[in-house]
Amino acid sequence: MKILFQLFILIVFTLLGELISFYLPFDFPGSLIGLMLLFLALVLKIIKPEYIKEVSSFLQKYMAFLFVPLAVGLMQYFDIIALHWIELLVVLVLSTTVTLIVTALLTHWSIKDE
Amino acid sequence: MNDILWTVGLTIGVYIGFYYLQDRFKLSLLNPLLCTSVFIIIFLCVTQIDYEVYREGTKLISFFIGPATVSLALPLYEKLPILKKYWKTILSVLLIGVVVHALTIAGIFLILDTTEQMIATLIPKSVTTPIAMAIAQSLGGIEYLTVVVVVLTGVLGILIAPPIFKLFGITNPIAIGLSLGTSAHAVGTTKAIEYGDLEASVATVSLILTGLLTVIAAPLIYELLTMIV
Repeated sequence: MKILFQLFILIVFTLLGELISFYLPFDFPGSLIGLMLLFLALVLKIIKPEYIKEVSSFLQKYMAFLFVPLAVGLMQYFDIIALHWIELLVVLVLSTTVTLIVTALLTHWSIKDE
Repeated sequence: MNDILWTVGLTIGVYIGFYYLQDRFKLSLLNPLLCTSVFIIIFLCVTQIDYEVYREGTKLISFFIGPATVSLALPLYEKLPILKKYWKTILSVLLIGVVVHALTIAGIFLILDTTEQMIATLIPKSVTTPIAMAIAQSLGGIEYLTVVVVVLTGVLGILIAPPIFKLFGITNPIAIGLSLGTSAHAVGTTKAIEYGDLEASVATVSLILTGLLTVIAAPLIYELLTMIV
């Protein structure tokens, strides 16, 4: 029953997040509202880590696997990729490299200063 | 024939295969999500099976993305002591990281022509997949493309991180964890685990907080970008 109970809690918070997101006047992802609600519940000790521990680590361990069906959906957009592949490649390489260097150096300096 | 059985079976089977291949050869490029997806795309193209059939069959897998995202609250809660200790550095660097990332994309799009749809697809590229997908959806991007770009970002991030750390002489665990979590999300975190515990914890906190910051900043950045492009 433990696993089922843990899954139930996670689904309840996901559902709560989706519900609130539906009634919000602006766009905000429901799953993130669920994340913040659950975080709040953990801080306020309404939910104990044991209530969700096993299922959470299971889901996080296989998080990448959960995205396979979506990534496969890319096959519907081959024409768009063919059209935009240069900017995709440039954005991918440049923005990742720049962000990595800037954040690493900033942290490096700010911690040295302390 | 039952489409759920063969689609889910195929997905799990191929994923396990690539998982062990990567484990054996330790190559970042053998990323199981990336390779499994390419494999299944080729399979569907060769057998001329419609993506809709595959999508319907694997709905059960995609369903778990929601609860999996929500469950990230737990590692964030467990890493609260680290966050409390370094919150000034973490928050300010994350904030600058998100802005720099957006500015880089803006700069590129000032030079290269693009569409609003592509901007919406690419803005969330450095955050963890579930959050990126949610942002792309709400901005009107192509969420499928976002998922792939996010994975490629992660893989690229862990490929270039070690030489960059060496080049700039970065050895501080907080700097390593923070930069990996901010620029390469969950894939970066797997690399941070190889460096050590503190690196991994900081990376986890950074990846979740970058996601939350980007959700708040993305609509603004999108408005600005579509105005100047």
